Amino acid sequence: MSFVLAAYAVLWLVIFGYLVWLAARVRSLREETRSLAADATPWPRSAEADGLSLPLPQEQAHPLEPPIRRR
Amino acid sequence: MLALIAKDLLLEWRHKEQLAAPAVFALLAATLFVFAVDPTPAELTRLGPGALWVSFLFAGTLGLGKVFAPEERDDALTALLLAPVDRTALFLAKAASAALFMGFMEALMTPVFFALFDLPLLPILGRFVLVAGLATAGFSLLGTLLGFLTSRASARELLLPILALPLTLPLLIAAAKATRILLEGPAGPRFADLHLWLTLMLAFDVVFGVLCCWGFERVVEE
Amino acid sequence: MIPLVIATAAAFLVALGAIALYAPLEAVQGVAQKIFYIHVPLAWCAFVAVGVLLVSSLRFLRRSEPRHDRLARAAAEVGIVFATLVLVTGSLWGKAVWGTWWTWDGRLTSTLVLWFLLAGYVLLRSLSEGPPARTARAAAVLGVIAAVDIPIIHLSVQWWRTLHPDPVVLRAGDIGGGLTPRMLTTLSISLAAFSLLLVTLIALRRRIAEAEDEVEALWHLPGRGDLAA
Repeated sequence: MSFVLAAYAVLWLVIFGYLVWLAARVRSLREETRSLAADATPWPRSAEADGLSLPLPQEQAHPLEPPIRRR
Repeated sequence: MLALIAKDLLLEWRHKEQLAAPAVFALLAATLFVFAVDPTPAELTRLGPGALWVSFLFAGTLGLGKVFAPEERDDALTALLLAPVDRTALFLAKAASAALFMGFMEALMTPVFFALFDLPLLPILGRFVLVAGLATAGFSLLGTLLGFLTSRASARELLLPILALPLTLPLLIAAAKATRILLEGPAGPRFADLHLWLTLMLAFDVVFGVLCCWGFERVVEE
Repeated sequence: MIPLVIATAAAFLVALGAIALYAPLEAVQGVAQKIFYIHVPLAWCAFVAVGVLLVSSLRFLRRSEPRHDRLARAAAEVGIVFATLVLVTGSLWGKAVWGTWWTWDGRLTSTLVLWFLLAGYVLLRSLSEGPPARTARAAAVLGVIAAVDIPIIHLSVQWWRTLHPDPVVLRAGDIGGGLTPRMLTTLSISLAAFSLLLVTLIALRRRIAEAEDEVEALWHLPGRGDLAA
């Protein structure tokens, strides 16, 4: 019996663990999108560009925060 | 194509210590195996072929990483690709030089291994060369492609064996089984299975020979 | 997406209910046989995931459309989750029924190799540093090669065991053999529930892959081309 319980427990642990991990991934991706979009805006930033809408690509990232490449 | 192989061989000859390193590694792996398992002479007939092939394949992955290394430097690969050479020919030349390096290592180490394990090499030499040739060919084909696929990855020295060893598992099984059957001789209980393992390796070589050429072309076109 | 999640949850409620209440107790294995109803569907899903990986890799190589690549990425990662669960549940079942965590039998061993191949695929993707388009092509080629290799590996592992001179101590047993109609119904329900779960997870993971590609594209905006190189 304990083996059956263990098997079902592992099943749910792994699946929900994976879901939690995916959710964390979504959050970090969202943050990254936001900061990248903000980086691409020239200084001083407008309020709306800091938020959700994606600004047009600019020739230079603003000078105060040199972005760090992931990986 | 021959010129490409010759170029790789010449480069390798200039760095002879690179050629020696996998051989030393293979020898070390086999020695460690004997220390760890402490087999009796009778057990060595059973376990020796496995230890031999595991050592060869591990040492082989060390050599594979270098196949594309000289081309990565100075971006010579782009130049090679621009040259009027068929991509398939380029890939096969790379695989052939990988097979030659690995074959050289095996030729050097096989007598040493057989002596260390106190197994008779001469009576089975001809057939053993056939087994080694089939295994080395398949391993080099897949390994060359994987070396190319991982050429831009960080920690590729780690990634390459992780990819190559499970994918070539059929070769390891077949080569170890065939070698053991050879050692047991025609009177052994499994001698009739020898052709089965040889066929398996041949089929593996053909399937992945075609597939790797196809895959190389797909990755190269950018 | 939300209807899919609800359908999956509902299917699992039905499946778990059937496993607990409807399926009869197996005569020999007793309660331990209940693991069978999750183990087999998990294995089925892992192999379907590999099939999806193969088909979408081939499609990506032919057409170079990013959506095929995203599907391949999703299928491989979800495939690892399922392959891991197959190994763990199989091991627990083995311990309960045969008294051993692991036997080097053909099916178990090739599932382990499958796990290695999927892990290698995901590692190649996450460790590659070149341009994303090249990484995607390299991964697609690896996906095709791994999927083609799986039957060959399975065959060789099978021969490795059956042609082994030592007697095989433990056999996996005739799993599909003595199933009563009620057991078969329960298995079918569970199979449906797990298939839905597979579809849901791959769909979720594919959404995330889209977001990953968007972030990657942001890194490569003209303004930061020099920094992203």
